[in-house]
Amino acid sequence: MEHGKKAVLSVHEYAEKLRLKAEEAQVYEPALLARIPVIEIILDFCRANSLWPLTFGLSCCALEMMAAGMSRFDLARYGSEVFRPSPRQADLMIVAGTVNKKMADIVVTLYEQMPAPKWVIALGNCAISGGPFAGEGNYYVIEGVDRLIPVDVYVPGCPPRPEGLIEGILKLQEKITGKKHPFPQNKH
Amino acid sequence: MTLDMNKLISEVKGFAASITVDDSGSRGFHLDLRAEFTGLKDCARILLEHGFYLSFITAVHVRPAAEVMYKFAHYEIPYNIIIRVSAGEDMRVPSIIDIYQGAAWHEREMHDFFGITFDGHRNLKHLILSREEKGLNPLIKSEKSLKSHEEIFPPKGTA
Repeated sequence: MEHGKKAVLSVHEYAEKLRLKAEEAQVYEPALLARIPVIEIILDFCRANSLWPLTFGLSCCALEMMAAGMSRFDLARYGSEVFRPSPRQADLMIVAGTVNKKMADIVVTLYEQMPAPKWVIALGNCAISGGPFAGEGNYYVIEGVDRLIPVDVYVPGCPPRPEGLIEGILKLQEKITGKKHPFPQNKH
Repeated sequence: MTLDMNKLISEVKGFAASITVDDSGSRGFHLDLRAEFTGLKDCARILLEHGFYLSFITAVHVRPAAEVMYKFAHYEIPYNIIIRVSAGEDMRVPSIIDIYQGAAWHEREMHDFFGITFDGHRNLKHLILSREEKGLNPLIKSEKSLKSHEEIFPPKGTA
């Protein structure tokens, strides 16, 4: 078969090429004039409690993300009040859905446009590792968005329930602050 | 309404190589035509006159050559019609975009995935895959996994 293994290899090479190009253009956090740990801790608590996601629903997981944002499984009570349409105004990118070769370039561009500090949640099996499309017959799906951009939290499921996405965001808050349910969240 | 259908069947009979009439319970169609290469556009014109709309176009890679499948349906009468055209060794099929304009993007998709050329289509560009994947034709099967038309669609009563 002229596709098959060669096609999967070409998909991986394309993803690798994009990732190297993105890494060259990466802007690291600038060195601060004076590092005051107390202010950093306070800022981390502020950032964790108001993560504004970028609307980046690509396929079926997008519906679960929308459900998590609606009234039943409310995401706004954890700080994600608004889903920003522009990457310049967002600090969390929830990659919800399958990333194809055509879309990979766009994913990397949007990630580069987000200002630091930024985090990425890979929602669903397709964003984690290609999902049901990974395998011998794959000719177009990037097997996991972490081949393109660094991912902080992986939420498995096909699709994960909205409560799974909420748990992923809480896990991210724990990652940012070092503490589950950071102040001022109630534990009950 | 059955009188209309008999008239339709008698009109398309001349163009089709074989006609199968079914009741849409098991196979999903009321009428299945295996059309000759040259009869495709006349069949489509007759269907348009009778008020059918194009539902979708897809293709299957069978032995000996890929087959393009057109599905038509009607707004008022529940009647599904399928036309199958074999693309032949050179993978060329006449385009029906001057009769059904909505076929334009479906034919582009078939060109993208199978490499079938539609004669008369003025804009056979890539639609779903990107420009760099020209020639990939991902849904063309390898020799050892090809099956004949009868193995995939066994005649009714056998499977």
